[in-house]
Amino acid sequence: MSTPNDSNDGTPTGTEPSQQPADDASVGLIGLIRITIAVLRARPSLLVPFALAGVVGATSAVARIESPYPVDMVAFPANGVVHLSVALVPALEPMVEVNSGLVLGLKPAFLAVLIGWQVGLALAVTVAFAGVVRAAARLISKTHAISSPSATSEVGADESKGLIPSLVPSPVRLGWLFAYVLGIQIVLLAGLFVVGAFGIGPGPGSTGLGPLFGWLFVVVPIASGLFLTPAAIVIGGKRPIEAAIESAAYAVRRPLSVVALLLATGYLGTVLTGVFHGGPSPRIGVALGTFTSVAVGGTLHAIVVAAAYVCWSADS
Amino acid sequence: MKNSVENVSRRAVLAGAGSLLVAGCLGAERTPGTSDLDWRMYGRDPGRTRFVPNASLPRDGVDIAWERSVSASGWYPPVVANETVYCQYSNGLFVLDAATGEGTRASTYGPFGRDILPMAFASTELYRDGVLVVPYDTVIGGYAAGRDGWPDSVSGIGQERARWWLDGDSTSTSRLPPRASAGEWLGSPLVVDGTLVSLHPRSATLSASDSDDGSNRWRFDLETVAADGYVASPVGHVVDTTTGTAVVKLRTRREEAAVVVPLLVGISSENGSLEWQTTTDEVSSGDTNPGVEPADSLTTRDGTVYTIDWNTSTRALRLCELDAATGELGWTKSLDRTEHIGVAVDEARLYHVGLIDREEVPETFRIVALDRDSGSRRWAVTIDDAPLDPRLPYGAPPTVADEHLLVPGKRGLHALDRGTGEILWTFTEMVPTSGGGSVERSGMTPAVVTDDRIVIGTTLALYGLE
Repeated sequence: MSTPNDSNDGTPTGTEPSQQPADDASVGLIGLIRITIAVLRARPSLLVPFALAGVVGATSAVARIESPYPVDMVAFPANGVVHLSVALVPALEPMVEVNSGLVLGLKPAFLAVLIGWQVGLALAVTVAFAGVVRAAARLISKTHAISSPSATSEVGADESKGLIPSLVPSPVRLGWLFAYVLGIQIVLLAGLFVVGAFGIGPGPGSTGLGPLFGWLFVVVPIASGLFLTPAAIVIGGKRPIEAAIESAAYAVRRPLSVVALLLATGYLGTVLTGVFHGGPSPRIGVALGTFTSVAVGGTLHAIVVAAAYVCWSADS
Repeated sequence: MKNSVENVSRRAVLAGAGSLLVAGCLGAERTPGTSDLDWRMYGRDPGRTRFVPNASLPRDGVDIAWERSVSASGWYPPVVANETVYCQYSNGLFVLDAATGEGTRASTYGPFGRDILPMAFASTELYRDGVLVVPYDTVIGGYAAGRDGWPDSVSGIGQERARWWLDGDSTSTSRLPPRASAGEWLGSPLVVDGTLVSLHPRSATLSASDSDDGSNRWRFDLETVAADGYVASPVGHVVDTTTGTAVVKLRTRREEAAVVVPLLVGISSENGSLEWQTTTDEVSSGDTNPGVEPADSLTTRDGTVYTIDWNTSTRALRLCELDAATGELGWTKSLDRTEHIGVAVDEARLYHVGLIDREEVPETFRIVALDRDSGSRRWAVTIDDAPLDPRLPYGAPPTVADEHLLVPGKRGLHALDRGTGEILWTFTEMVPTSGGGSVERSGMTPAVVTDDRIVIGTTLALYGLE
């Protein structure tokens, strides 16, 4: 358990969710969406961090095409309009699809380049995500732009309570968020390697239901449990494991809201990649689709995570 | 077409720049390195010569170095790279040490390795193990090839080990393009200095792709060389590395009149530009022998192309010599054969394996060696044997190695002196039948020679002979 004063870097922290069920007055899904829109309208400059990250992502995506690494660029709706995806943090290359064959047999130098590439992207998304989450949390805490009665009353501008975070996250929190984002990238890469090395795939006579159930009952619950982890690190000042536990607690208390937000943010990021689908040049389409998805989808993702964490921690 | 070439060239330049940035800066070489021991594609080399100059084979018979038995044959031609044999059969893929026969048999339960054309192997800059190229009809898959990395079983189409898919129009790493019409046996991909040169029947294209990511280097639309009102169907291709020419054999067809015009096209293997094209007389599609064109009827070496077709007036089998750089026709030679089986070429001679009808034996091997310069006959022999099924595309193409000409047949594997045509030995093994008797194991793949080993798929067994 942490208190507002036990943060490891001395900045104010949030609180653990209580074990009691959410009351009717807590901010729900609609409330969070309204808060997100209100925050973005009040501070459009929040788009800047992920716009810059979008430039990085677009450049990286085009570089992927030109590189000898075998990757796909897939724009919405190439995988169908009901393509479900989950994103623990906004993807800087939402159009990139890779297969397990990418990592099998890579020469050490090229594996190092690939890992370095991922580290660079992780750093970019960390800075953008932390910046927007922090700024959005500060705005939500300071202003009365929130239309939800419970949110405004609970989270309102009471700096004396120590709930208003400073604008710039501390290097320690930034570092932990970076470690968390990097950890996810490493787990995904390792997963790709394991799938390829051990030939894990649909067995004989597979109907495809196995992967679907696996996605529904393994991927979605895990991703839901981790959904608010970045906010718990950046706003709450937790270390990744503590933050993940706290995030899981919120997911247990509000499973439907968390799953809906998880799928909505993932889907939004995917849909926005198709804005320039079918353009005159595939590379321009990839660059613009990536930029749009990251700039808009990433910003909304970060704000909604910040709003959910601030509101729900205030509810507790 | 020119615009297409220019666009592709621009993309190729961009892709090349990207590759240089990543691969060049890292000083990467393509691995595994090529070797005289390799047999990386159908026909062994880009010219499909089937000639192994540095082999060491016995003149007085062979022994079994290793044997791998199976419950169902259905062999596809083996490939050898990095001293590793890759050989697909009905129910699995063997990945074996060429010298000892030790290694993995990856059982297959889905479409992986089924209904394919002959595999190929290419070196890669990014990957230390190279890529195993598996052509499924019109779709070609590139798989992680490492000898020690294959699991005991491969499910589905082996997506877990796939690095890329290409179909002539596009390349994907995660989505399998739809499979459509069947490809031709002689359209099996060729590997030229790390570039895959492949035929795509559905889109009627010849394309060159990078072995690392399957990205397109150039693409040639074969429909552009067909006359107005004709549809082009690619039959096979070879690459002459001396002149840098990819030679494609086409069958162009006018639908309403059921008329076929055979066509040969020379395309630069550097940039995919058209160099030359030749036509022959129109023939009725009902008169063309289906056994000739789809099988091994094209080879090239040292700037010379050899093709086999039917003489439209005499109905005899005809061998033609062409200049690979210009397409100019050289000598022609008529052969009285009922079937064409295969062709091989070494420094001085062209070897043709065909069938003749004899009264007591309707289908019998007739093998002839021709002088490459003049087309004159050096020797000819008849062997009382025939391919297991001559009408299958993999009937029994010959192999030239050391002093030998190796010809698989129903009775096993025949070895002839390539200088004289003298029969040196016949490798015959028996396999028990369900009725309690035994039959000879038939040779079911080309004899693939690596160093002092002959790898051949036979009835219910894969052999390494020494």
